[in-house]
This record gives sequence, C-alpha cells and structure tokens, in this order.
Amino acid sequence: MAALVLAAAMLCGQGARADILGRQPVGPQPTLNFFGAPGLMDMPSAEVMPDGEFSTIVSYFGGVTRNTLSFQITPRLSGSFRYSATQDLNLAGFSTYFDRSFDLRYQLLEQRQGSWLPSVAVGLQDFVGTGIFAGEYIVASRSFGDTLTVTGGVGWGRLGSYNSIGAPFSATRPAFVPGDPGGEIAYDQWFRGQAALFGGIEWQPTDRLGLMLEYSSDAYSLETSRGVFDRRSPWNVGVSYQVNPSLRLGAYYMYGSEVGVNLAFSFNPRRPLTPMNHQPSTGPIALRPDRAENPDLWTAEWVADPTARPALGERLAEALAEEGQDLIAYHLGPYDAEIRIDNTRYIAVAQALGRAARVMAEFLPPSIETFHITLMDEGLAISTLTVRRSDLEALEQEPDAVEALHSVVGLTAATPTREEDLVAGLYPRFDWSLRPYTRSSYFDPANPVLMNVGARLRASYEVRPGWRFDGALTYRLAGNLDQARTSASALPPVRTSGPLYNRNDGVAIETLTFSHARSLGNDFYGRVTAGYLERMYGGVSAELLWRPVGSQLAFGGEVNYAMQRDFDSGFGFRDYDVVTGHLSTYYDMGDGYHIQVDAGRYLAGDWGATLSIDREFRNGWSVGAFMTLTDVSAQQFGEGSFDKGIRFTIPVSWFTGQPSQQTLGSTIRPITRDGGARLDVPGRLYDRVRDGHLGNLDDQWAQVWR
Amino acid sequence: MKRSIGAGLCLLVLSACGQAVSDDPFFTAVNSIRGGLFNRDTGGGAAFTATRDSLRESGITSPVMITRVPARDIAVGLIDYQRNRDVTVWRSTDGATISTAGGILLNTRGFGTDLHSLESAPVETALLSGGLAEYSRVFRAIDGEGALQRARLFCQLAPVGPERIDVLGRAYDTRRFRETCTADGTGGALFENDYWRGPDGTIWKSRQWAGPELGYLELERVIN
Repeated sequence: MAALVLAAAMLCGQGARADILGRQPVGPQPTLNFFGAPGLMDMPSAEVMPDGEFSTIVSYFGGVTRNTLSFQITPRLSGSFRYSATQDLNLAGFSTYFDRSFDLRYQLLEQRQGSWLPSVAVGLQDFVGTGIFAGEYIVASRSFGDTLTVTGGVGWGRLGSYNSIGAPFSATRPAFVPGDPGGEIAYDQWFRGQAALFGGIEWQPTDRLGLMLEYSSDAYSLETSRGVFDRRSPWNVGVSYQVNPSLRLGAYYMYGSEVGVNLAFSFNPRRPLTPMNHQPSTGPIALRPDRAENPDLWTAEWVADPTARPALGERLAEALAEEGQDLIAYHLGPYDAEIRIDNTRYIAVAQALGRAARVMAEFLPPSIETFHITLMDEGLAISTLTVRRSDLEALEQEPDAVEALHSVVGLTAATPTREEDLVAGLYPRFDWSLRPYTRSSYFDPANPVLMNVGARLRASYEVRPGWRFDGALTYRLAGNLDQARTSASALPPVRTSGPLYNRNDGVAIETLTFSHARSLGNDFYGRVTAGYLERMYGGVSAELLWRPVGSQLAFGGEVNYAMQRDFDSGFGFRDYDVVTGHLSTYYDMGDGYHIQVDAGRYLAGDWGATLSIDREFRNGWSVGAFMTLTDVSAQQFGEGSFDKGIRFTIPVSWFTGQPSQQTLGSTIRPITRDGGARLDVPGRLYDRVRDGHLGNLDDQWAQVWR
Repeated sequence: MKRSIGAGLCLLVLSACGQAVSDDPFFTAVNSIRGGLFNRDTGGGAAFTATRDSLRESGITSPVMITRVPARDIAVGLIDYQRNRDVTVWRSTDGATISTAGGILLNTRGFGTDLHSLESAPVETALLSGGLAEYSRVFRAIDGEGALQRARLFCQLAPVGPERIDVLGRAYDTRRFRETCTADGTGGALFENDYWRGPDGTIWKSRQWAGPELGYLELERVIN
C-alpha cells in the first residue's frame, strides 16, 4: 500500500529543494548508481545525498535486476537494503537467483570550498547477506566547478576482482558459498583478499543532464562463468537525466555488451509533497478587555453561578472538537483552569496544545490567568502543559513568539484524572471505524510480492478513562497471500507458521482485548492487556514503564503469557504456549535519533536481545533498523542466521498537506524465521508516553502557534 | 480589540453566545459584503471590486487592508480585527490574517506556506529617520519538516522621492522609500520592498516580501 502511494507520488514530482530563503542549491545532485549508492554506474563515489534522503532505485543490465532502498541516515552515513535477481545464474537450485543484501557507507572527508582535498568515503557492500555482492571500498571524489566530478577508488571482494593489484591487508578472503544461510556479519572478510582500482568521471553540463564514463573493477566472475552475460570490457558509459526533483532516469552501455537502465526515485521527509496548509480556524488569540477600563469583566464572581461551569465546558468541548480534540475532563477555578484532551488530529503535540490554548482564551472568563492542558492518550494521562494567558496574549505577535513562549511554559507529568472533572455523560465511550487494509509478504522466490486487500472493522468501548475493550475484525476481499509458503524450522514454528493464517477466507478476529493503562505516579506508567493480542497469539500481558517527563532515558519491563492461536483466526488456540518478556532501555539521543534495547525471552523460548535504532522527523516520518541476537545458533535459525529488518513510517499529511495522524508504513524483514521473534502487543506504553514528553514537545515546538 | 470585547460580552451572557460566527458583529458586517471584499481565484483572476461607497453602504467603518498576492492570484480586503499592543491584525472572512506594525508586514496566517515572521521594528525606526539607513531584520520560517529556521537579513532603506498615489479613489501625497535586503549566500538582493509613506507616518501603500513561497504582498490601506 505504502509502495503504491509512493509510486504515484513520485510521478507527480516535488517542489524545488530550495532553502528557507528560496535559494536553490548550487550544482546538480549526485547520481545514484546501480547499487543505489551515490556513484557512477556499477562503481560508487564519495558523494553523499542530502541528509534524510530516502531513495528507491531499480536497475537492470545483463540479466541482473537490483531493487534498492537507500537512506541517508546522517549527513555522512547512509545505508541500503537491496533485493536482487540474477537470471540464469542456476545457483543453489534456483534458475533465477534472488538475494537480499545490506550496505553501509560513511563519508570520512567532505570536499570543502577553497580546499584541494577531495571527498573520501568508505563503504561495505552486502555485509550481512549471503555475500553474492560482497565488496568493500575506499573512494575519493573531487568536483571541479558545478559540472565535473572525478572519482577514483580501491575495492576489495567483488570490487577487487578485475585487474587486481594484490592484497594489501590480507591474502585470504573466505569465498562466497552459494546456498549458505548467510546473514552473519562478515567482518572476517572486510578489506581482505585481492584489491583493484576503479574510477570514472561524471560531467553534468546542466542541472538535469549527466554523462558518465567509468572503469569497473568488478570482473563478474561468477556471472560470466555461468553465462549470465558476456563481459568484454571494463568500460561503461552512460547518460542520466533528472526528470523532476524526485525522478532520475539513466541509460547505459555496460561492459562492452549490455544495455543498462536505472530509475531512481528520491524523497526527503523535509520536502513534503504538499506543503502543510494550516487553516487558522481559531484565528489570533482572543485578547481580554483592558482591566483598568473594564474591572467588572475581570471579577471571579462567575464561579458562584452554578450554570457557568457546565456552559463553559460545553462550549470548550464543541470548539475543541472542531480542532480534532476530544475534551475528556476539565476543571475551572476562579484564576486557573485545566482541560484534559485527547488529540486525534495533529502529529505535532505542540500544535494541538497551541490550538487548545487558543480555544481556552476564546471562551474562559478573564479572571482565569493560568491554563493547564493535559494530554491524554486513550484514557492515559501523560503530561500537563502550564501556560500563562498573559504570555499567550503578549507573545503571539512577537517575531520570536515560538522561542519566547517556549521559555515561559512548564511541562509536568500528569496527575491521574479525577472522577469529578470528567465531562458529564462522556463515559462509556464507543467508537468504531471501517477501513481498507492490506497485508503483504515479500521475497518469496516464486512470488516476490504477495498481497491481500480487505476491510477492517475496528471498535472500541471505553468504560472509564483507560479501561477499554478493543477489537478488530478483518475480511479478505482479494489477494494471493494464500500462496505464501511455510518453510521448515528447527524451532517451534512461532512465526514461520504465519502463512497458514492467511489461508482462511471468512471473517478473522485480528485482535480482541481488554486493557487498562494508567499513570502510577513517580514517573511510572502501567498497562495490563488480556485477550487476542495479535493475529497469531492470545494471552495476558503486563507492562511497567518509568520515564520522567523531561528525561531522555526510560526503562521498561514487560511479561506475557502467550498461546498460539488457531490458523482460522477464530477463538481457538493451538497446543503451544510460552512465557515471554523483556526488560527494555530506551534512549532519546537527540536530533530525532532513538535507540532501544530489549533483552529477554522470545516466542520460541530463546533468550537474547534486540537493538533498534530509528530516526524520527518532526513531521512524523520515521526510518529505522533492528536486529536480534539470541541463543539460537545460526544453524538452528536457518536462512538469514538472525532476525533483522528495516521499518519506515510516512505520515499521510506529508502527501496531502492536511493535518492528520494517519500514517503509512511497513516493516521489511529479509526473511521471517522463528528465532528472536517478539510478541506484538497493542498499546505498548513507550511511544504513547514519549509523545507527550518534553523531548518530543521541544522537537515539534515550532508548530505551537500554527 | 473588537474580538476581545466580543468574547467579553459572551462571558456576561453565557447562555446567549455560542461559537457560531453568525452572532458576531464582525462576521455579520463582513459577510454582508462578502462578494465585494472577498474575490479569491474565481476563474477570471482575482480582483478587488469594492469601492469606498460600497464599503460605507455595508456599514464597514473600520480600516480595511486591500491585500493582493500575485503569486497566489489572491485579492482580498482584510478588516482591522485586533490590536495587540502596536500590532494590527487584519482578517478575512475565512480566517486568513496578516499582521502589521507601523504598516510593516510582520506575519501571515492562512495563506498556505505562510510568512512565519519578519522583524518589523528596524524598518519602523529607519522610516522615522526619513533618510538613508542600514539595519538588519531576522526572518523566521518553519521548514518542510516542521522546524523553526532563522536567517538574518541585511537591509538598506533609501528615500526615492515624493509621489502622489491613489488608494481606492482617494489621492495621498507620500514619500516613497525603497528597502533592499540581502542574506548571506544570496547573489543579489533577496527582496526589494516599496513603502509609500504619508506626512503623518501612515504607510498608505506598500509592496512587501512575505517569504519565498508567497512572494510579494501588495497592500493598500483604506480608511473611510
């Protein structure tokens, strides 16, 4: 689904990549090569893409197709995930050989204006896969003016296989073993064995056109020995064209015998397809009348009027609903007021808070000077922002309104919601939605993409704040996911049996849970969930999280008893159950980087730890990677050796420019096995709590007046 | 000020006031002349068609800022809606606003990719001196990711000379000033603003930059 939307969006192109003053970047941007790395055709260069650039590259020549997803993780570090197919390779029992591989690149040195030093980068190609594309390189690139870039480097592995100059570091390099489970980090082969030189030039006479010539150090020994294609020359030539800021096309003549093509689609979370359109439906903040001239309006006598509180509450609820915010509870004193809201529209909590504050200023009597706004998430009270009304009034029109307001507000952990403050008649709350869903499976050798589409009915019934029943039913309308094959496993088939859950045609109970989440005070939060937790498992789950409101660090613990569900996704269970759980450490590294370590017992009963790193952008984009190592050996684990994958989330608002909390996203694993498999429990606390905490609020603070 | 008194009145009669905009005297006034004031991309290009007479007939006595955004094909009359100390907020029926201080554009809201803020105080001071002046202004924008970005602009204000201008059929004797601003790394000028200033200091007409997306706003101040 996400892929389809992306594809449609790419063809539309994007606005210019100008900076905030509208200045266009100087010179053309780097070309992405056949491996999805900045470079020429088959060879890399030392250039980098703009920070955060997210690219999909499809390339083909001589029977070799490579589909690559690349991400500029930091201004200097980039990574790629690739799914490739080599026709007629006839290897390990496959006529067409499919392979998944990961790359990492780091720019050690960046060319600076006025300096003669080039950019220098080091890269690892296919460093955890089965190693068919394995190669390492150190490369230098020097640009002359805005149009000419000269690149030269030395490569090992595949990139050291043609016209080698010897083995500078170590003569021995383990050979590529077809059919090996692969997946192990191949540090024992990096920069070992024969090395060779490569290089090339790229001339970009205009911002759109590039002409390239390269000398390749890849002998394609395996492919040529098996007749995939004929390598007659080390020289490749090509031309590339930037159709719009997102799309670059290339056509090439490769190795003296083959025609090659390359399509690269690039996005950047910082360049929305449609700029956000912020309708100021609340208008500028309502100013209170001058106190000296209108002392009567400023008295707190309204408190004595028994109709005042409900009337004001009704009006607040109505106006907040216009802003996509549910008023859960409120408390009005003569001089201060608190509202508790569940933000259902804005990705940036600061924007939700800013709009709520303006609603309060619009309706509350002038005597109320202090506003408290508490963020709730499905009944769980998270944090309270305190702001003085006079500050809102005084600062809104100041040029530095964003920074100035930031310095005078306070954020504290929320106290539990008081029964007497609840909006009358709000509970029990019932809610439902009916939406389409897709479910997909990738990388099956016979069917690289399998997908089901259908309808999903969700419903929730909240008895009191935080006490909920939730359920989701799915009904498959079309798809071919039933063709996904299961694979043999040396472990209990805790995830490899997944395809069996795709074979029923009727209504499936995806989830059906009862849960309770609450703030426990002293920066602790708790949750218990029982029922059908996910598609494959049911059981009981309990979680405890500690996170102070201003902390970058959090700790959590979760323990679950899980029983595997019947394949028909009904109410029944199979004869497999396990106690699983993790101790988790979360750290907000700043600048949008988040790291998480979960250590504990997994579904197959194996013990180990998962490391996840994600980069989150202020507008809701997120790109991350994870890996799990457990006491299951690579042999027992099977293909891939250990569990790993990448994941991304794209907010719908990035496409539409309209505020919405909806997102598209996917988790991509090269292969799903049974080792290191975690239970999916809905409503885990960390993301819910962090969303309303200081780090996140600070990141998104610029939206507070929007 | 209008709006705040409106809110104040609401408080006194809790049961009678709602959020419904129709009760608001401001909206009643503006809605009655909507066709004349609010002409936004109606096919044949935007045009501001109201006259001083039509404004008077509609009961609009407060100042109006005729605002044209050529890049967006917008021509709209904004009404003096709120005074927040020395800042005037001008508002359209659909809630779009611009803020000015001493006639200098400070921000826009509701025009798409808005001008987040551009400091106005240095220009006000420079205009008071009446002669050649150099100063800096801080430009703030929220980028595509949602982060606040700042840039310092280096500006020069120069008198151009006396000019007699027409604003909605009324003539004013003004002095014209031209402001030229650059930023680090910008080849030439980032923008050139023009201000037509009356003897009492009122900016009757101006052409002011509102960021790279909106381009220039053409403003004319109408007082009936």
